[in-house]
Amino acid sequence: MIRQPFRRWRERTPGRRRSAALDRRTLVCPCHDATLFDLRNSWDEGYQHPETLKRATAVFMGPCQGKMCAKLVGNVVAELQGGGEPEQRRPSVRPPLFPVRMGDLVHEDEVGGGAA
Amino acid sequence: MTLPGVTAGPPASSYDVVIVGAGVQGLATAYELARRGVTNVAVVDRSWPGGGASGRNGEMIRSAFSSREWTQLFELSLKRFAELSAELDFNILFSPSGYLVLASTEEEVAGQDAIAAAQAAYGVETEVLGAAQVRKLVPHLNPDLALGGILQRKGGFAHHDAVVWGYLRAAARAGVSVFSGIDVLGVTTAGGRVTGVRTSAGDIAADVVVNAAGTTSDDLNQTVGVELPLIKARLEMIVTEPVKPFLSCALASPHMLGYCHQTARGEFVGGTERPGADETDSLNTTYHMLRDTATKWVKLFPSLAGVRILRSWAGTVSQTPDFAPVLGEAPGVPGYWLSVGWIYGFMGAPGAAQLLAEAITTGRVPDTMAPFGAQRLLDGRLIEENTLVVISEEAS
Amino acid sequence: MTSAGEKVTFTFEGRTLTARRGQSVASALMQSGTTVLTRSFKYRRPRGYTCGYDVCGSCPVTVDGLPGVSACSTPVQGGESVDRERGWPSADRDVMRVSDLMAPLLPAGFQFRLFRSHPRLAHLAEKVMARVAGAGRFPTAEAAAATRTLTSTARPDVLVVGGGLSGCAAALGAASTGASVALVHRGPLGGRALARSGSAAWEGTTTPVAALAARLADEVRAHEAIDVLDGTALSWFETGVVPVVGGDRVVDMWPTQLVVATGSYDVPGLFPGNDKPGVVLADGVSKMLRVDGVVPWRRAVVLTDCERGDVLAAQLREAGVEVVAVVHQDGADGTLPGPRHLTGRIEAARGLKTLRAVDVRVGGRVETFDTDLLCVALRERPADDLALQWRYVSAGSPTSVAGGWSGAPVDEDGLAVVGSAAGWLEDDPEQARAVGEAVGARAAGVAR
Ligand SMILES: Cc1cc2nc3c(=O)[nH]c(=O)nc-3n(C[C@H](O)[C@H](O)[C@H](O)COP(=O)(O)OP(=O)(O)OC[C@H]3O[C@@H](n4cnc5c(N)ncnc54)[C@H](O)[C@@H]3O)c2cc1C
Ligand code: FES
Ligand code: FES
Repeated sequence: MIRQPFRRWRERTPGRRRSAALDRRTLVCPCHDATLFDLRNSWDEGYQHPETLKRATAVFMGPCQGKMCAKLVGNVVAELQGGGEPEQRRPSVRPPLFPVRMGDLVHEDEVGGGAA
Repeated sequence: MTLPGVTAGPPASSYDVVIVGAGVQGLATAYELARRGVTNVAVVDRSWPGGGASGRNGEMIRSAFSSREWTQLFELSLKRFAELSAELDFNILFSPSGYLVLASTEEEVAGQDAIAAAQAAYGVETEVLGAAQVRKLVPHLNPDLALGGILQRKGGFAHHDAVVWGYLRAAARAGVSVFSGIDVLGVTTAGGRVTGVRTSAGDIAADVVVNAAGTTSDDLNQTVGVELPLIKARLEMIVTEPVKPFLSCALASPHMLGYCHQTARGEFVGGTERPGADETDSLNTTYHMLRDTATKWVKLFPSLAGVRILRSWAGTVSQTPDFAPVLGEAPGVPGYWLSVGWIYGFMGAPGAAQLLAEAITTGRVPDTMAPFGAQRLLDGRLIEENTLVVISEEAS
Repeated sequence: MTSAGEKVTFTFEGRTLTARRGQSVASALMQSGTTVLTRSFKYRRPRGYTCGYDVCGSCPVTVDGLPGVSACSTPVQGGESVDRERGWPSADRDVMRVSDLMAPLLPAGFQFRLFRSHPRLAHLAEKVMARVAGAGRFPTAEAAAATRTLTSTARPDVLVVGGGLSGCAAALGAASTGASVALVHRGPLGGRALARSGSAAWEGTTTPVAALAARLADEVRAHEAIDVLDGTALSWFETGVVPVVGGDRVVDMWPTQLVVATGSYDVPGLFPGNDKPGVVLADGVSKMLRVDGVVPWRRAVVLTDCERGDVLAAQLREAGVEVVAVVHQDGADGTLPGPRHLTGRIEAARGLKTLRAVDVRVGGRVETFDTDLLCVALRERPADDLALQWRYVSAGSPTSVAGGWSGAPVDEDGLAVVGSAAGWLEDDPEQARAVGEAVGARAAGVAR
């Protein structure tokens, strides 16, 4: 179970290993503990579109829905693309804008189906 | 729009098989073809693989239906789900935590024994639960709505993206080419036979074309004059903030037209439907469905009232009049194969792909697949299945 | 009835704490020396007060049985019972903390590689993961039942979302045309401007923004044609409804015109340890000092790439915090006398549970500062979610919209975006008011 990551870790040169260790403590998306290392790694694996990178690393999907990480992910994507602005638009912004309690949306007479 | 497994560069000018749509159906079919030695295959998608319904669904898996046709097809799938992680060398996070179809009315309770008996007859193991057992299994349920249930212990859920990625990587390793960002504009024919597809990246020749285009599969059919009663329908779901584990199994409520489960992260994921189809291909979520969903889940799980919704999303499917998929060669167009009309196409994919690949490579239609042919819709011979969490307008 | 500011007590994990009614729960906890407010989701890293404005999700606590209450934006009432949510035996000492030695084994996607040939083991691992990693708490039945609200409908000519300086000015502008106006805002009207330094022009005089925001908020509240709701807009839906969820009601708004004045978000820095309790975003720092009136820090390093660095350093010094360095990551020179101005970058934020020291790389050397606050005062970004949603929803698909990383519209038929949400670089309430007037007139043209 741990062989593969360990091998990959050992194969790195001391300099890269050190920078990988630092990247692991650099949080891009604190909501889901997605680190700079995770983003670089997933990008290297081939998740090179904001929508697929999002699904591979869970950025944008935490309690803040990207309010904290959107800009940083954009910067990292731009850097990984080799500079400039990210080529692609950011992943979607879905309702609700801020988390809401389910109880706030209960609506007795507006329900469809057998339960109505 | 790349992912590990997606082919760089443009497609070649010809393949043995072109599959339109890199959803779970298209990718699983490609993988199963490759397993049978057909590796000169291209899967072409306008979006990223999994960008359609395959990456937006409720992840629920069962084979406990009531009809012979559904049960046998989905039982084959369920067996495959248990093998897939090892076979694809990718953990698809299949969680056989059980699948409970809840009974909330006396009428539903009364019907349970007959359904379970049919399931047993078709070789699917289920248990009929009484009110006390259901409440023990899912303690937070509203007792007024937890009168009984049918539990399939081997059912459950899997991670939808992981299933897509697992098939994608395995198919690519076996030699299949998968292209993203290429729109298939039409199917080409000569003398009534399929000759390939027209795409935004040029024509691709192929003797076999598989339509696994999900919501827009009907549009593709139109380009070769295949007229099937398919409609586009939107479905919506919500996900909440993570909470303590409170729901161990997948749960469907025909009474509420809802389905839900709790992820390993602790998020509650649930969707509900209303009678009749929401006929659109828009991916917007709607306010009335957000409220419908919240209201129904709070009714079933009163404590969820205090849990926060983080996000809602929508996906679209293509739907047939009997809600069963269409599997097989299109009537009148040799070489043009269909895996369309899926509303339970995530849980159905591993089995259907295996059958379809077998039919394409051997020319013989397996018995389990035969009832799902397109001709049934043209003849009005609909498959009757009573345990679906969806009802048509007329039936309600 | 007791009034704001009066001394009250509440229970925090069995202890009785004293606070001023109305100050945020987070500020009361930090005053009592609690810096770790929760644990992160996967590695169980300690987390604390970060953004101050109910944005980052780093401060969820359970209040009277209701989980997921943001401590930074929830006022102390007196008498409530507050608990942290994650960590065992406590958020302070979490035995599940994944050490830095273990973390390399768990990069994003590790779950797809683990146990792939041992389905049973995978399933078991998942259940275990759900117990340990899976967060928080489940609401008590009583707490859950208390969330039910009533729904009503409103059809204002203009709906302004966001009641900061720009939102208030826009609402006043729209109301001055005779339009009916609804204004939705989360938290105290006036928004981030209430805690900010700087000044803006208004009616011929230059006024400090904090005072101006308070004044405009008063005018908005007093205005007969403006209905103020404390809550959040859910979204702009395809039918044109913008539901607003407030404390005790839901209002389905069907505005003729929508004004987005959602302001800005602070942008975190990208350096090792950037999530440590004690690394706080600029507006969060200002709010703690100037709105909650609590000074939980003694020494600070300020990180900046714009003029906000000097502004925050000044605010901190005014509150009695020693600013040991201002680090300019863009190479600019600071102007403030007193603290050391360095051009460089943060090499690491260090400390076991909370921030103890900051390493700054300046050229070829690293300087270490002992400090308990690293104030991140980078250029903020527009809070563009609602404007983006407008665009996505209009297009019918969140995936078929071009327009780059932000791509939020600024002015479209039925929609206007003002202030920081529109990317304005300076506070310009007069401009916001002018947009409000135009929108009010537009609504009149549509509605009557
Ligand atoms: C909200 C929701 C919840 C659901 N819940 C469940 C569930 O719990 N269990 C379950 O089993 N099923 C569920 N489903 C249904 C299930 O998701 C679908 O049936 C299944 O994903 C269909 O897979 P597919 O590969 O056929 O289609 P899709 O995944 O939609 O893939 C089709 C692909 O074809 C591409 N495409 C289409 N047209 C073209 C073209 N002309 N050229 C190129 N590419 C094209 C699309 O981009 C897309 O990627 C749910 C669906 C939704 C929307
Ligand atoms: S920080 Fe990424 S979703 Fe919250
Ligand atoms: S949400 Fe409370 S500090 Fe950010």
